[in-house]
Amino acid sequence: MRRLRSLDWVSILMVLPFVAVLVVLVAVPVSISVATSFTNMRFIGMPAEFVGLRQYQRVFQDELFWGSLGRSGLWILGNAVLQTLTAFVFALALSRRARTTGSQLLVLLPWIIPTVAVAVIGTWLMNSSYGILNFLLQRTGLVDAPINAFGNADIALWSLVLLNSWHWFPFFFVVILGALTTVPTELYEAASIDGAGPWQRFASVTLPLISRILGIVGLVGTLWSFNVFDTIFLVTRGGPSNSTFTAPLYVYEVAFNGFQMGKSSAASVLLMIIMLGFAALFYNLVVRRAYHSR
Amino acid sequence: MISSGAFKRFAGWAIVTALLALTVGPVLWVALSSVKTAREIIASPPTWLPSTITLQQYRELLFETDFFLQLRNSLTIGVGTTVATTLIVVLAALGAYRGRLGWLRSLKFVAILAFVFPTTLLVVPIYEVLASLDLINTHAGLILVNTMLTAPFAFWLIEGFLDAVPREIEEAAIVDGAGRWDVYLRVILPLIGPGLGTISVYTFITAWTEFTFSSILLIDRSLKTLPMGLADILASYNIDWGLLTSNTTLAMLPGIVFFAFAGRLFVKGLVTGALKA
Repeated sequence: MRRLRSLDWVSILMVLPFVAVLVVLVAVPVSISVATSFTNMRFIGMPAEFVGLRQYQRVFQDELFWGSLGRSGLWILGNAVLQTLTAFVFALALSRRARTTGSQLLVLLPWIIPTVAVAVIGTWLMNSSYGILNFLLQRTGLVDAPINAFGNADIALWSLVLLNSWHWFPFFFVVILGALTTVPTELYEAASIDGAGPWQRFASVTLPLISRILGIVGLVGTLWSFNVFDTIFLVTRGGPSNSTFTAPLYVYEVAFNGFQMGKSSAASVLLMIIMLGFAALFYNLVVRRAYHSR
Repeated sequence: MISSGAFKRFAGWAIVTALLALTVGPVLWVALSSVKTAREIIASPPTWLPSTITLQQYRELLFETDFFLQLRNSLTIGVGTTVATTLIVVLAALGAYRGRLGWLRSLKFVAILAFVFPTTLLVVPIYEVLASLDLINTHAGLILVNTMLTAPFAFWLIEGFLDAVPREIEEAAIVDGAGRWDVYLRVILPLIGPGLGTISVYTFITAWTEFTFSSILLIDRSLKTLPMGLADILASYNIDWGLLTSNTTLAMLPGIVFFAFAGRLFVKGLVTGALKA
């Protein structure tokens, strides 16, 4: 009986399917990427030779790679700020009101529709000839001429940030609203009695208590938005003049249209290392600290 | 003078209205556009409500395109993924959080790592893996990929629900002579029902909205999903806005109906699960 206890095979068998899925579809693909990145493979499955670090060298010398990395940085920053802030502001404003599940379901609408539908909504509402948003902007006198949201290289990335944040902020809104409901109302009352104004109550009661969940939302939201491929690909395909060509699109294009599997793999290995480093740093600086401070 | 209470109530309503206009407004506008005539839909200035309602595009979509086929494919993949993920995750969670091996709990960190992993960087090698398993151009292959995309977050969410079930209940059942599987199936599972609902809704919605992997893994017309059909119209050189908006409306509808019934569970569970961890 003691031996049974020390090695519980049933538990191990139970977690096995879950672990197997992650091994087959994450660990093995990562290993394939690493292995391919040291070769000169051009098409999937074609024979290739070992070329050492040459593909990494080529990626490092590719301006398009650095450009796409920079755009991914802007993309992540824009989305993190816009979606977290929108979610946070609405959650704060409504923390005493829209707690009914019904209203939260309506708010979640942008999150439950297919990303392709999100792309259609963006291109239709922000269309420069027939879009309702351009009509409203012109009618209210905010702009003189219609804005070509996705066709103008100066603003296309930000238009996509707007669209992607619209798709994702409801999810974080529900999480943050839930976190706010865990703050005991007695704390607010005590702070009010001590003479704290609304801003002080927010800074000294609300923020410390939910900073950890905000940190997690920020981290998960950041990493998930880096991963976005479909919305960008469907609306602009990386254009105009590469202004929305982010890192995941680079990896895809180099592999499927440039037929340079080795180089694409080297780029994706580098990006994985960067993202994991970022996640570790963010976790240690923000999430952990917020946890200890309470 | 307006009393401050009345003002606060008004401000509250104004914010709720703004929020709903932001989230529901665009979806509603697409639905309104979809019943306008080809001439009216591109009229300038635009009409708010359609002056004449036409269902021509819907008739075309329903009877002359692959809509029903794509709907069936999307449902197959959505339901398939939901069943696969829920089954795998519940088994793994019981084993890791309720088994006799404490160290299996650290599987949670593997799950976190997996759900923040930039999977779009793995499109190519995942394609290779599925090719070697003969799963390219099959619904099974896509269901497997969707399971990989959803299981880690689901595994993380379910922990809060399992931890809320007191060990004493389990021990009491064992004292009463119940075996391990009796405890899992008859004691714990009924108690984590809301958790199962939450991860099922999360999984179904993720599979339902997914496009990147479907577009790469499914090739045959007979296997395509609703989002893929929609993307084909969106990619055409001269977009037929009437057809596109009505197709979008139809593609959104089943998910919305599903969420109207099951969403309640999700909203409550997401909060319980996400805050616990």
